[in-house]
Amino acid sequence: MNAYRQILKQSGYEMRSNGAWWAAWISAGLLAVACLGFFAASGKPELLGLIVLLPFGVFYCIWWTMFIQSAVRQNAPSHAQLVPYLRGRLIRVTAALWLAGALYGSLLGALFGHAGWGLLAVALFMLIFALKQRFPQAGSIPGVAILAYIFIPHPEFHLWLLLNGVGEPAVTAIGFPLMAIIGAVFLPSLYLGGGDRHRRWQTTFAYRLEAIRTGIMRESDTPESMHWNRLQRSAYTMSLKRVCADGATPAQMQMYALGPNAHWMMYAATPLVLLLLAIPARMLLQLSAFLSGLAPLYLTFIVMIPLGCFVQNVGISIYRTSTEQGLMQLAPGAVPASLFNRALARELLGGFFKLWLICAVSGVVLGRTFSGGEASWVYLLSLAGLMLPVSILLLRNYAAMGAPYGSSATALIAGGMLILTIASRSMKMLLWPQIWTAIGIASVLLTALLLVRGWRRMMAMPAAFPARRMA
Amino acid sequence: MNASVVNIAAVSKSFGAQPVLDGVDWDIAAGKVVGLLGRNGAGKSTLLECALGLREVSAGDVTLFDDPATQLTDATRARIGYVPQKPDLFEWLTPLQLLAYFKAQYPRWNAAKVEGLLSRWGFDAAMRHKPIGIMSVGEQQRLSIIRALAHDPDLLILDEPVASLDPVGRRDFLRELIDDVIERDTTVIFSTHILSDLERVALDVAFLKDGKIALQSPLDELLESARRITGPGSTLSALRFADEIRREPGGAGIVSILARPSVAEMAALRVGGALLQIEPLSLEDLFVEVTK
Repeated sequence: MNAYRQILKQSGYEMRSNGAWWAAWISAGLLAVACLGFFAASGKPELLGLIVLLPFGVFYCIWWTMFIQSAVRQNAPSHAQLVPYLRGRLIRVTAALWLAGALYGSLLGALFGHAGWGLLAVALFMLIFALKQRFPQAGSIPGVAILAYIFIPHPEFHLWLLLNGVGEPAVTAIGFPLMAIIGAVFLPSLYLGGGDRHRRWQTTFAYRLEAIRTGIMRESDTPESMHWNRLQRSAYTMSLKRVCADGATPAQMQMYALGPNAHWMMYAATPLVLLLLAIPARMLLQLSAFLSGLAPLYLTFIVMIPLGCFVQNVGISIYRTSTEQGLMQLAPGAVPASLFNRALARELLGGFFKLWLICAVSGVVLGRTFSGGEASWVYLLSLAGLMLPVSILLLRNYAAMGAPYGSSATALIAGGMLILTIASRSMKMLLWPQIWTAIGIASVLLTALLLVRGWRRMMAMPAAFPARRMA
Repeated sequence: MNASVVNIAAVSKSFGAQPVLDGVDWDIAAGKVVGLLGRNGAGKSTLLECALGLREVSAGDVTLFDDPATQLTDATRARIGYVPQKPDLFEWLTPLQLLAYFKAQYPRWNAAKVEGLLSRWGFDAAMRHKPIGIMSVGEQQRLSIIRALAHDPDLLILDEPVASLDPVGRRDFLRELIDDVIERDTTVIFSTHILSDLERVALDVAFLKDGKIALQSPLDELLESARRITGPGSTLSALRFADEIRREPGGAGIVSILARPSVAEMAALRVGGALLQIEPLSLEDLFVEVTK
């Protein structure tokens, strides 16, 4: 049993080492608050169970994602080939966890009288996530399903209606064993048994995880994202060409030396392209009332994600480029050490607020468009304002910085934002509409307060670059 | 004769159109300690990986303890220790957590040896709780060696195990290898470029060149018998040695022959007289000559 316990413990160790442990707990806690809001607003006693089950489910799902990635890495080609019993144990543990998750889903579904749907939904999510590790295309299944739901013009062909027509017991009786068979067929290919094919895949898998952790993609490893990555970089490249020709302040030049991932322009493409694509799409589509209600929240959330990525990648880029920073410091015309933190903070915050403005405008316009004008400007702007305090993460002691947390920071920011939007949806039912004005003002005031404090502290710190020299 | 632990028969391996191994035949008997030598890119790592079944071969067969390398039983796996060239450790763990993980996977685990190695190799209390991801490459390599030795393997394969170690680390490793591993009659195959280390440890040496084992011999015998014979081509052209490794024409009609002359052949050479220069070879000379 100790062997199985050790296998299970690895994802916990990894979550603790990269901060995802706290991200999972905080997300679960925020979701519990959101559920409490829903419960209080609806007054339905059956929703009380959600307060316990849903946060636990979120935690379990986060843990499952970490477990699968950890288990795949435990099954490194040399281990798969040479460590006795390891591969078989990994397969058995994965199957048992999937089954446990599916049973949890049925429990959650039972709260609403639909144990079967709950079982299938959680089992499917877990299966798709596991499949996605080996076959990345599987990750697009939920997106395709949502698009199909929106685009199929005849409601009678909607998958959901078709399944409902067959009936929950029958679909569960067929669907769950079917998923179990797919899982049984697929699991050995998730945990390959060594050899060249395994090594090639493991290398790609490691690059992909590294890209998620650091936000830095290698174009050759991610053909599916290559064009988008190039488009994002082109804004940075054009801007660099311009400042090289026209000249820029040493502080501005220093920012370019950190690479495209630390430059705000890299992240402006997503909200702008979403804005350009979504408005004609809205004209062509007819949304259901349900989707109309969620769209403003969802879109605001989507367009604010680049801010989290920007903040995360600034930290990673600064951590990684300490040698280049040293070279820049030696160049003639470099920012003097006594003025360096001021110049750096101004550049970083300037980039953040420019990006925030683009994201916020995009979020507000999209939210208004997709809600048919129902969602107020103040409401949407306040949602966007919830991201403002994140800017404080840019003001830190870079000279003594430790290894960045990587994807967990983004996950925390993104997860927190999503959960807050859900919570705010429930609060909207509880409180007077002016709450959004109050939230917006509170966000701005909190940000101002944090920035003043952070600015003073950073000015008193040793010169930021070369980073981590005092760590 | 000892039973075969590793048997490689007519193994070829290509990466795309690039052949790396070309019909390698290699048999390692139980208890042998073999140093594998070859130039950079000669295919040493590939050969060791094929020997362990970590890579599929393009042609030929590999067996480990009579199991086909690609279908090892768990009992056979438990008898093998492997130190890859690049440490392949779980970066999110500390050394103690990593060792606990592998201890749980293996049916046999020498906890006293692990503790002894950790203590002797500088893993103090702080180091034992340090995340592997922030350890130096040399520290990771030492940990990788401890992990490979911990289950008292019957076969130990080491791919440039000391490449990242400082002189103290190398000395500690060699002492461990000589005092404990080899004394236990463990079969050891290791590749290295540090020939002085190999001379201290290896009983046999094998040279990989052009995708084949060009020369394999007990090290002492090889060093005692290998000679470079240099002289006029007119004198040497008539000479043929039973164990001739290489013959190379030099400038001005001079020919150089690398061979392991028998006693009779040596006697004949001496009769050949003053025109011939006969030199013993060091391992480094041999390496240069054989892999040229």
